Parts: sequence; C-alpha cells; structure tokens
Amino acid sequence: MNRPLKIEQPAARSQPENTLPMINVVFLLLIFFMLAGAFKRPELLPVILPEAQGLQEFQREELLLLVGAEGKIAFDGQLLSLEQLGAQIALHQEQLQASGLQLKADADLDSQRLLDVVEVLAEQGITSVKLMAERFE
Amino acid sequence: MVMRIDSPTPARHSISLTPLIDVVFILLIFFMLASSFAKWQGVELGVGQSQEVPQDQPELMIIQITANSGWQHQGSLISAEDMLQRLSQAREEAKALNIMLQPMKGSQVQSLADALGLLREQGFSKVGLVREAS
Repeated sequence: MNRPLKIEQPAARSQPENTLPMINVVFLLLIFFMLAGAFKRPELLPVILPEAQGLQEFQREELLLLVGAEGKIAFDGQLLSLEQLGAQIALHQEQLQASGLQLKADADLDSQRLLDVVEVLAEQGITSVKLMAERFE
Repeated sequence: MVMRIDSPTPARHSISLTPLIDVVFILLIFFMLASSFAKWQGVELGVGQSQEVPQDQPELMIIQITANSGWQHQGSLISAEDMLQRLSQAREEAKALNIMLQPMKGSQVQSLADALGLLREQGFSKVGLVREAS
C-alpha cells in the first residue's frame, strides 16, 4: 500500500493579530498613571528617609527643608548654609508659622546637626516641625 | 453620451493604529517614570523649647537617645517597654506631661524617628526636642 503522504500546507499569511485589546489595556494603564500618580518633584539633595511607626499623613507643602546625610541643607530650591537658612526661613515666616515646616532629614544624619537646624527654626518662631519618614515594614 | 461616474471603493482603508500605539506607549512610560506613589507622612516634632530645658517641672520627662539607639532616663539605660510604662504612669498622675527627647552625641536621625514614632503610637503626640547640656 503506497499512498502518498498528504501534508497540509500552512496558510500562506497568518491573520494579523488583533491589536485593539492591547490598546485598550495600554490606555487604561495610561489613564491610571495619569490620575493616580503625583509628579515627583526633583530634589536638590538625595535624602533617604528614616523609617518609623505611628506616622501621620500630611498635606504636601511647597516649602520643604532637606538635610542630607552629610548635613547639607537645601530649602526652597537652593543649597544653603546654616546661617543663610535663618534668612530664607524669615522670608516665609508667616506661612511656616501657620502650617509648620516639613523637614526631610536623612536617616544617617547626625542628630546634633538636626538640633542645629531645629534651633535655627526655633529662632524664627517656627514651633512645629514635621519630620518626614517612611512606614516601618 | 453616457456619463460615467466612478463609484467609491466600497471598503475604506482603515487608519493605521501603529503610530497611535507608539505615542500612547511613550506617554505611558513617561507617566510611569515621572509619578510617585509615596505617601507624604511623618511625625510631628515640637521645637518651641529647644533653647533651654525648663527646670523643676514635675511632669517633665527627658528621654535620652544613646548613640546605639538605646533609651536612657535619669542616667540609666532603660528598655522601650519600661519607658512607655513609666510614661503612661506619669501621664495618669500629671495632666500635662511634657516629654523631651534628647539625642546624645553620635546618635542618628533614624533612632530619633524610631522614638518619635513609638511615642506617637502610644498616644504621646506632643514631644519636644532638646539639646544635651554640654
């Protein structure tokens, strides 16, 4: 019995894949990220926040005081020395006295440096400092 | 004479979706990279009295934070649990409890944040910061 083997020819052109479901998903992702994500603000100093329990959520404020691990200070978009900081804080004194100042200090910063900064703030009459932190996992 | 009108081709050529997908992908990647989902949170710190330590107040509790993240009260090392117990006791006795954290030399902001967070969790929300007497 010698029957010739029949091999089915594959279809010459495969059907183009339907891209519409993919576009739908991508659009959904796009809209999600547009609505749910807040823009990162570029910061002058790299600051690794300390971790803590019992955190309080705050409103994001425009003015933010950054203190890096080596004790460098940045406020309102400029690097400052401790002496200059007092003058800069004085410019925004009323606003800061009302809302308190949000402070991002590096976890590895020496606490004596933090005290130096906090004393400058106290001299300007700022009584409430919010030390930013991340949730302790 | 018969006028001949070209009839339009019945099936219209569909718009190519590829450029649209390209643009949407670029937008997607942009928003993914530029947005942050980090929560804006922290602990509140009272700094009003950081200049001088108010003396002779029975309700004043000064907690020192040592360089290796230990807690110290009245010159002796104390565990966090003991400290919290003492604080709750003091809170029951005195209505206005004034808690001051005193970071010692060599301590870091992390241990300060630990202490502040722990105190806040236990309901001691008004905590001040004071410098070690040199």
